Amino acid sequence: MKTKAFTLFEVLIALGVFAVAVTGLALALQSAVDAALNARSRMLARTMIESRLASAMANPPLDGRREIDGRTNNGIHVLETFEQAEIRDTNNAILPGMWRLKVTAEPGRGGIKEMAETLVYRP
Amino acid sequence: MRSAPTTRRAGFTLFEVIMALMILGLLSGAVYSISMAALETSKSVMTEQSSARRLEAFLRITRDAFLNLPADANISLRMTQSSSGSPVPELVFAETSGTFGVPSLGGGSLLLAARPRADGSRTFSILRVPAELDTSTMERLVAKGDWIPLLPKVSKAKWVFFNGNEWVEEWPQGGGRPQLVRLQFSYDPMGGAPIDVQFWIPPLAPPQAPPGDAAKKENNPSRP
Repeated sequence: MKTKAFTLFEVLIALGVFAVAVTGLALALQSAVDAALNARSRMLARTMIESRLASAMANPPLDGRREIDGRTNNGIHVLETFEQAEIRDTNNAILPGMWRLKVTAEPGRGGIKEMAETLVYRP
Repeated sequence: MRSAPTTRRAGFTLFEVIMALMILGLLSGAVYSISMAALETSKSVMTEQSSARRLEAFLRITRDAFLNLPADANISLRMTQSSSGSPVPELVFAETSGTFGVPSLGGGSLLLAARPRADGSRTFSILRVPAELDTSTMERLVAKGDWIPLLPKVSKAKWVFFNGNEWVEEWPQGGGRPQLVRLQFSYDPMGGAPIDVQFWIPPLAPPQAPPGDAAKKENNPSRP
């Protein structure tokens, strides 16, 4: 007598559907962890950029450019540029002593670049 | 009494039931472990986010305190001993009319220090000290006063000051205002991540050319 039962094929299909669902859940978990780590590295890059901006305001890179390698800086690559700002007065003459200080911080592993800019008066 | 039916009744055999229960057990075990992992992950993500927020808020309030330092304020660093004998660097904001959200100090000063706790970690805290206290009252207030905690679980806190030429580790009373204040510590909720931040203090006098700048000027004709 033939008993009614699932074929091997049906069982495999059911297990496959379950496995897909479980993998999706695990991927969602992984992306949550990644997002948290990403937020941390962005926060550290923001903190770094505030510090570098403060530091460069007191001690600007007079050669025009200063770079900090990510390998010596917790994986955050920093570039500071210092150039004359072309700010014109009402007579269309460039105001002397105004400099544009720009700091960019780029976290490693393809993180998002953070940028900050300010004007410095340095006659 | 009725006799047992002669036809075989439809049903599951014991073997089938055992197999079904086993598969059910395996699947529910998998679901349980995944949901536990999800809970665990969301918990650690929340902890991580809240500790990052605390750190950022502490840095912001400290940066604002330095940025909004009144002209008559002065900053100094004093080293004290905790009850266990470990050195505690205390940053003193004296004569400020208000800082760290404290509206008015009334001529008193504000201490910012990484206070040691019983579990060995330190907590950045502030303490408001009234004006004109004698030394023993001051010591008692510092030891037993109501410190307001700002950032818990830090270690190896160190303050360094930039005087225009170099970084110095000491900033005694009456030293004027430094150009930069640098704070280094490790933050335990982020796995002891080293935090190294610099705070800019707006200068009172216009910037002066540092010594040795004249030589640089000759090399760089683009400078005005």
